[in-house]
Amino acid sequence: MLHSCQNCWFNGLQYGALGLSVGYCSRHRIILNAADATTCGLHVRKDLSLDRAQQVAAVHAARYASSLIVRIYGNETAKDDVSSNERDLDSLRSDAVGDVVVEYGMLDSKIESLAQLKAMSGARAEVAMLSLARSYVSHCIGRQGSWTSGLHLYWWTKERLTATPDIAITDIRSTGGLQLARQIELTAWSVVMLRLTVIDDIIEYAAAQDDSFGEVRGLLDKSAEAVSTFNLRTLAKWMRTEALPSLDRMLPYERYVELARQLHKDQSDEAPPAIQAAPAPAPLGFV
Amino acid sequence: MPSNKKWNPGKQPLLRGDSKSGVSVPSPSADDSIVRHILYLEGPGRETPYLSTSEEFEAAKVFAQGGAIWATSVRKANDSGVRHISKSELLSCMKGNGKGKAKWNSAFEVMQARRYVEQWSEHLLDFRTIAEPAAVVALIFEKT
Repeated sequence: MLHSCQNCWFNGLQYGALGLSVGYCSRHRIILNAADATTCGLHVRKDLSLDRAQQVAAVHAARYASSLIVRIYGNETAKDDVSSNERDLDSLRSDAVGDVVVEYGMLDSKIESLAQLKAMSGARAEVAMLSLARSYVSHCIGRQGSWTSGLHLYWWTKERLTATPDIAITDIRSTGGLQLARQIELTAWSVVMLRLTVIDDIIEYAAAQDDSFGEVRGLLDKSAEAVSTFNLRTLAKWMRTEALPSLDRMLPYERYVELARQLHKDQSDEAPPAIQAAPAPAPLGFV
Repeated sequence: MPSNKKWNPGKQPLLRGDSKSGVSVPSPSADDSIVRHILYLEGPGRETPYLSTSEEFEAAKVFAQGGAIWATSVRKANDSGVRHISKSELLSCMKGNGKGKAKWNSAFEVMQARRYVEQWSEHLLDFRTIAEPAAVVALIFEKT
């Protein structure tokens, strides 16, 4: 399950119990009909911090080919597991989040698609934005980009950090035997932590590039040390009193505006870069 | 259907989704970190001294992935020398940086593992002291 397409950051349509009955891979550009059972060598887990996800991805890439979506057990392809049939794609596009996810990277800039998702209500749109944001920034960094390629994604995510995720009953694709209300609570916690993971990714990239923003590293562990239950109110209180002041101290609004101006200037000075495949994560070994 | 009643270790089975041909055989001498096991860090084919099971048929079905659902009980496991680590025991040792075999360097990963334990109503069977794990697995599990 944890190594399946549903838990991969290239699939914006599912995360654990949340999502549609099908996923969509933004790398293979294909509908995932059996996302809980399939995987590929490009898989990057979205439930783990950046370093750990990269370590696990390196082990995973040695076991599975990057070009094929296969069954986790047996490593074999099954034709009904995926689809790029136009009728299926049209059906998926009838869902507002599905539409943006299918179009992601096809026409306008990826950041524009992410902005569309940000503007949409509901936890599914948010999970799509957060999942694809992680893959987007990783891709930019892999092309020698600056950590500021995730600047707006960081700011948007920080702005909603303490909000309770808006999970509708129709957003839950399975309860796995758990009581529905508890499943929703656990899923909401996982979405809040996915926000913090996106923020943590960008802090890690800043630290690797010796930017002072990197000094706020370790928020994921600090949050779990401070709040060892799935109580969102307690978590939101910790974020308001501890995480947000630390973040705002290292990256105040004035610096955000200044960096955003610089980012836009750099982008308008450059010709649009060619699309390249993201490099495979470096094998880091287990801690 | 999720059950409203508390799971009864004396009456209800522990269920595991696995292949049709049999239950995976644990490796008693493998790394015994519980968080590492639950987070499935090395992925398919990894070596672990534990077998994950669930109180819930629905959860086991998800993990079966078209294979089979196997059942055992706390009594059968105990009779064969396999220690049962209950869901409540797992949850109680998975706070902060964890305790005992759930001690881990990342509190965030401990919390993620804790979420999975609750989400999948997970119990572990501990094979660390079992000399012949394949024989014991064959003895205590039966296909449902």
